[in-house]
Amino acid sequence: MLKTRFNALVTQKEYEHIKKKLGREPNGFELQLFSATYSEHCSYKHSKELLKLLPRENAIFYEENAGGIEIGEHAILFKMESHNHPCSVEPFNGAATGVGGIIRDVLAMNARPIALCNSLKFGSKNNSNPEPLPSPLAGEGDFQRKRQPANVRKSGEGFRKWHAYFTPLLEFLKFVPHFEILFSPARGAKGRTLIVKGFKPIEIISDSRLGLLTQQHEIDYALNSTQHEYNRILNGVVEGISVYGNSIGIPTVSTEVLLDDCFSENPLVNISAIGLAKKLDILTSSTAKNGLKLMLVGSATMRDGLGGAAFASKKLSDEKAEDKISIQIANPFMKKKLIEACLEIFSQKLVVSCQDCGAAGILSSTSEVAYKSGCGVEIDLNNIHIGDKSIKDFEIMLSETQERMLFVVEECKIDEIARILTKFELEYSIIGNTIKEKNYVVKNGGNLLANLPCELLVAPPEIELDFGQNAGGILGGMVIPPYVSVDGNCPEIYEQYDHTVGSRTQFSPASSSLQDIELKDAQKSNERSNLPKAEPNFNSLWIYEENCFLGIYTFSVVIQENPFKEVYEAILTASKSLTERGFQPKGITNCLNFANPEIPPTMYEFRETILAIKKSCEELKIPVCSGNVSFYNESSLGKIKNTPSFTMIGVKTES
Amino acid sequence: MSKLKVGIIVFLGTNCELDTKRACEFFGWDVEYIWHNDKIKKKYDLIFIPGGFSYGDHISSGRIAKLSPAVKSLPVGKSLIVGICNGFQILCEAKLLSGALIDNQNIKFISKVADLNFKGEKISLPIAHHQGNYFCKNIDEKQILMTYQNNENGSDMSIAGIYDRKNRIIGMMPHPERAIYEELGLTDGRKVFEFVKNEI
Repeated sequence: MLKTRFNALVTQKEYEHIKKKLGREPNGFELQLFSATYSEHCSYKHSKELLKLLPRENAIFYEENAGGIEIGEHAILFKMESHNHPCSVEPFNGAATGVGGIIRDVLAMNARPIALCNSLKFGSKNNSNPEPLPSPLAGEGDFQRKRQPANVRKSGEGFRKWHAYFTPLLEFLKFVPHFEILFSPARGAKGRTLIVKGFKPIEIISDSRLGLLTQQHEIDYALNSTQHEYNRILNGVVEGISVYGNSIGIPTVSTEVLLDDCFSENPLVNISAIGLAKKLDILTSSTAKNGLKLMLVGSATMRDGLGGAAFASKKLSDEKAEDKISIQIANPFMKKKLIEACLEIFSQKLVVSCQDCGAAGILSSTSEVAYKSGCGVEIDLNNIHIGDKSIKDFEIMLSETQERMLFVVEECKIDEIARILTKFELEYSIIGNTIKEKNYVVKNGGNLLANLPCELLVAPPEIELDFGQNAGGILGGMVIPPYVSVDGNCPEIYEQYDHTVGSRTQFSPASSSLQDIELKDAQKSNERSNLPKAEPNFNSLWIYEENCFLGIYTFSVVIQENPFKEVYEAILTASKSLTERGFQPKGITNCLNFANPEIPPTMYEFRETILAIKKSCEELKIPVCSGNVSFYNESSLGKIKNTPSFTMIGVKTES
Repeated sequence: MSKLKVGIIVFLGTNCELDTKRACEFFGWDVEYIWHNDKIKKKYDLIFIPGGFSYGDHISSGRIAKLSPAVKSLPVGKSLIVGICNGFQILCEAKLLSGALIDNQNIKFISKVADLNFKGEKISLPIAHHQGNYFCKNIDEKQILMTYQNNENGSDMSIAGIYDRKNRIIGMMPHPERAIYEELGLTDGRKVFEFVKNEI
């Protein structure tokens, strides 16, 4: 690895390649750009050759932000993506931005997101309820009171008054980025002191009313407690998905939760989004041409999520505190405005091409549009709306600030777009334009910062893959404890996801297990019999525009011994499961979570998985519409068991 | 009889406007959206404040929305006003309905199908909220419109919805607009919409 003074990561071989193609030494700024686009996260350098094997027949737009299938006049666009690394460091924001990111992929193609699914893996539940640790603010005697059940603490009008007053304050503070809510361990005269970093300490509450607050935010305080780690991750991720998905009004319809100790420090958070688009109105990122304007819409660019692409391409170490700056901050309200504004702008056909700002932010979105469309771009950093004045030039390019989209527009349409954006109270800036030469040019006012061929920037040199040997030799003889599925007995997880918004969802994941119990009650069975039974990871959406139903089945395979056999059988089982319910399988999306590809047998298992997907999907005659690969899923506890996750879609025409 | 004229107020962050519109159109009503920044000038028989997270629920749910021109110009007493979920929270914040909605008892979002008592009937409607715990000092029993059978969120007197007959304002936490269609299995929302129609 070549480390520059900017701490960029490009391999020696890649550096030589750049130098040769460029005919000169790249400057520091350019090297920063390469470090992001050449990262595994952006370039798929370990997986792209193998991914070409996957069957694509009958899929539409499988090379775009999301892929899909056709239903009459409409298209269902869907994609699954991982957000494992951010979730291990900051579960709440990691999961929330995971939801936000995948929604943008679907939205960028002018599809209204209509459902979310997730497949989550955490450490074993045995570890998730350890003896509660006294939190930093618990004094003598406080602790017992704090753990009393909610209904005991809740009595009394005083409490309610306090709660009605205080909760909003905390809720508000949650949205102030870069501040942390801490409580001083010292007692004041009246009570304890609330310290918000950056503000004067506020003395607020008497001890007796601290109870609820403590429990509510206890998970935050226990950040450094390893005993709380598992609990913190599970609760944080579920809350993140819940807060974000619910706020933007997209139902979370299908959920799979598995527990296994190998995920204790490296949880897997795979989220898929399903969007509905009119077939003729779909936007892509490959239709830009010379002489158009680049418009950046949404949040002002800040330093959050900086270098996230490179971050996701290395294994997690103990440098978690340092990594925190790499986590994007979620803002669901901004996203909701962005969704509505984008759909209104797209519906008036004001945009030529669109790309979301995901990993490596402005850099990857602009370079991808240029590369796919066969033109070049010229960007002026001075024109970008910035939220943090101290941000450096390369940080603007790489920042992964959430809730931003890139539009490619004709100059004459800008006023009309601006009018709609103002209505939704969104900011925008014209950051540059497309040019004829296939070059990627970045300026800062008059200074030229980078001038690179697009192809060189986007496509890293090919690397040799080490497939290694069969894993059987390593795992053989070991007793592998089966993983635990918490499906069906965890209504407290599913109940936090709004599954009914949108009035399309047929089943309730939360009530499915409760329903079984209630059905035993003969009296109630009559009342409830009109509610169909469901599994938490299966659901059905009513596409009333085409008068049909969409069957959604989310599942994953924690590879134990034989990757090919296990993946192959899981896909066939899922297909059977859909068929039994009357749905014709139509397409699948995958998210492949693997360990470090440089160390065998990861690549061997990866290849076997790809071959299994290929074989099963060819047999079923369904395309792999989209996908995502996440490598380097390792922590100080070791590597994870390689785990591909899938969402399979089926269609049922008669009701 | 001419078609019912229905207005649905849309804030930034509202997310049930489409569901509510579809439900109204199911009953053949004439629906239009009212943008939060516009004063309500037209005459409507019925005004819905739909569910969602107006202004991202920043500071507190409904606290910013109550300051919007649309809410300030609500034709109280003239049109029937129905707040669902976030709409209920906004109406309480704006002091158009008594009481307040605070965090659920378990301090978590609750999304499930709840069994309710409504006009002497047992019905099932979806609930989906984080702050649906109804808190009031004293409420006239006549104002209670619907109650939870299992009090999912810890509301006082299990109240799920109230009706201020004098000012003709209804607020409820459950989502009747999501329980209209036979295709989705739940149709009890129709009973609520029929009731609303009869009250106009």
